[in-house]
Amino acid sequence: MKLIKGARTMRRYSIDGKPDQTESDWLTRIQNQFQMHAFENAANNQRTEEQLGWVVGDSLLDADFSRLDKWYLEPYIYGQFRVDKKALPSNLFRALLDLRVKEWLTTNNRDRIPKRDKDDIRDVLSAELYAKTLPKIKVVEFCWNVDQEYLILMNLSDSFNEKFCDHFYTTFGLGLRVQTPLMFLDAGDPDIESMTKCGVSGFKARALKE
Amino acid sequence: MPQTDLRDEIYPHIAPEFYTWLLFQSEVENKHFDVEGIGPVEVRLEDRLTFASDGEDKSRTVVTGTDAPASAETKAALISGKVITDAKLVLRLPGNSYMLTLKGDLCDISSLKQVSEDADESTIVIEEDDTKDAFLLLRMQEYEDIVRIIQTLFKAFVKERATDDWYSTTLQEMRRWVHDEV
Repeated sequence: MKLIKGARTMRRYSIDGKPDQTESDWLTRIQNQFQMHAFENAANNQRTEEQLGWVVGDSLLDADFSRLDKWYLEPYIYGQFRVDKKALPSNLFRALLDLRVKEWLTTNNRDRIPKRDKDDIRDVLSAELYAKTLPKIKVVEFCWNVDQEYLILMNLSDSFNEKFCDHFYTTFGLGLRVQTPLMFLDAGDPDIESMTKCGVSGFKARALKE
Repeated sequence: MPQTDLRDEIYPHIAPEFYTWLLFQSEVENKHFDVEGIGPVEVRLEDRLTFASDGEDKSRTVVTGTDAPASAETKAALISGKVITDAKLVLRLPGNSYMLTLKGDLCDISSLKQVSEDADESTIVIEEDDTKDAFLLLRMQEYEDIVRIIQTLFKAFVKERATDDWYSTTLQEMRRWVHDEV
């Protein structure tokens, strides 16, 4: 787990709210939410394009959240966000499609192929190639401090972070606000406004003479 | 209607200004910052600084080497109007040191690790027998300490930056250093 081993890189979020821990079944509710939005059929590659969901911290192949000790250590909820993406080589796809269209024309003794038939050939070819293609798998750990209402995601890619925030909201109904430097200050700090307007200090000029 | 929280916005000038102030603290001021619950912390900028042009031309300059923070290249970059976008630093706490890079407008923490200043290796090694839970708690405690330190540093920076004394005192001292007049 990157959370505990080696050099760590992370982006921090504040969470708008937290699960109501006064309810005795709050962890069961979190568990159900995880399971409902877990990565489906994590060991299977026969999918197309993009698939995403939660897997537990120890293995990208394990999307079973039924055991609490795999994802909860008071006050932390932790796991991994997995995104699989398959991409077909477009030049190979076009060449194979042309070939199959030619075969169809010969077999059917025609000069042109109707659009519907060409679409069918494209769909079949696409399914065949996707089945043979391994996905690019990205899996990133996160750790959520339930008591202090913050979360860290071990990744700095803006697009990946955006996907994570969307899936987190879909799963738990809680919004994530990215930590900005000004969030180190209290909400009522009188210096916030002047900091928003201060600009960058220049160094072209020399210091004023004393 | 909920009130807008100014802290939610990303202001691209704040992080570079903070990094430049950290550079000055590291190279000239050389002081310790008292962090609640941790004690005195020393900040040293390390062997890598990344700069970007402030205007439309977003070209990057990376200054590396053990003397990178005080180098002529670093000072030249600042004089030419470039701003620091990433700063690699070491935080020396009582009994521990951590190396990390603060990155970009959000001050994201990157490549955080504990370092032994003597051996340049992590002082804590995860053994097979140690439980994963114990290490997760330890690592998160470390992370929370690091965030508390950065928060203390940022608050100290804001305290200086938001006053008029910034222009008459701190900025003048920083310019003196940048132009080698210290």
